[in-house]
Amino acid sequence: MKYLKHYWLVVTIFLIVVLFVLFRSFSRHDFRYDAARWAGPSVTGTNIITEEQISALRGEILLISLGNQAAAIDQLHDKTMKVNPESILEKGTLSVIRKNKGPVILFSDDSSVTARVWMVLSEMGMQNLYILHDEENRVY
Amino acid sequence: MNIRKKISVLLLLLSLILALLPLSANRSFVERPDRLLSDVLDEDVSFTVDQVAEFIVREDPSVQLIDLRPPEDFRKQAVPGAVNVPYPEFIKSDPDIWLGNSNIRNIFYSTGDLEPDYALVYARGLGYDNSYVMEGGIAEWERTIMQTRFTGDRITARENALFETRRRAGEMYTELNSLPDSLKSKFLESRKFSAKKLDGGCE
Repeated sequence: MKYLKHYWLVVTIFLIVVLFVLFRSFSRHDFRYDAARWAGPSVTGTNIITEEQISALRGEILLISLGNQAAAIDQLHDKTMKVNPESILEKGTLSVIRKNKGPVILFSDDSSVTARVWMVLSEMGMQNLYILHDEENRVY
Repeated sequence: MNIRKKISVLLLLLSLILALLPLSANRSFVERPDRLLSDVLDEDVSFTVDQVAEFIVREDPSVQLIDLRPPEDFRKQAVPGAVNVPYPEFIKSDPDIWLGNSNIRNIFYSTGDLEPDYALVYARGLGYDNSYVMEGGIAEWERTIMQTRFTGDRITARENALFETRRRAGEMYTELNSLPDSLKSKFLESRKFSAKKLDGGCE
């Protein structure tokens, strides 16, 4: 105990730093460490999926329409959400995405919007996240 | 176990936790997610091919085009003034090499839209607010700049200026891409970024 008394200030500072680092690393509301790692699927192209490949995916599939294309897709899948791209980070939407036990597939009539939203969500630590594109290599 | 040992064990455990954290923390997003999202969804982060053509024709020194395609595609067709940084290399290495000069607007382009948009979010997330995209990539450049034709009887001053910019940018594009392979490779090589050279200092 007498050593603790001697070093209480150092130990306290150290503990605060550790707690801060741990909070920053595992916080679910912020970006995760190691940006390159989370961007990895965009480099390998494993984040792109076709409509035919969807049926091969395991788990509960959640389709998120970031535009006006929901009508064409939701005939095939029950769980389709229509979200304004600007609102994708709202608590309720994020909670639905995080609680989904399976792949989350983004699609939109604007491929730029889909790609940008994918990168933001991916850097927040979301895995099993895909972008839907059709057979002519056109991204939804 | 005496107290000194207990403290040592505690510190060792905490050090172990810290050691297990990713080491590349220096390349983690610095923006808040909501702010970054609204930033990258804003129209101001995109330039049309016409705007880019104007930068090229004016030889605007405050603009740097970054071609994210593989080197073989870049050697076949390149937009004048662009440098080639293949997307995998862009993600893997330190972006400061390419984006570090805050006085320069860096405009990403590729064949289509995906990679430039990933790169845009990645760069802006890391704090490089001088990052933009060219809408539609090379495909849109070919469609709008290279296939531009004047077919009417009358033309307004504004249309004429736009047409002239497209024509001049198209000529520059054709000139560059019709160079013999050896000359073109040398020219493009001279435009390639070299981290070693950019380290600075006089020899």
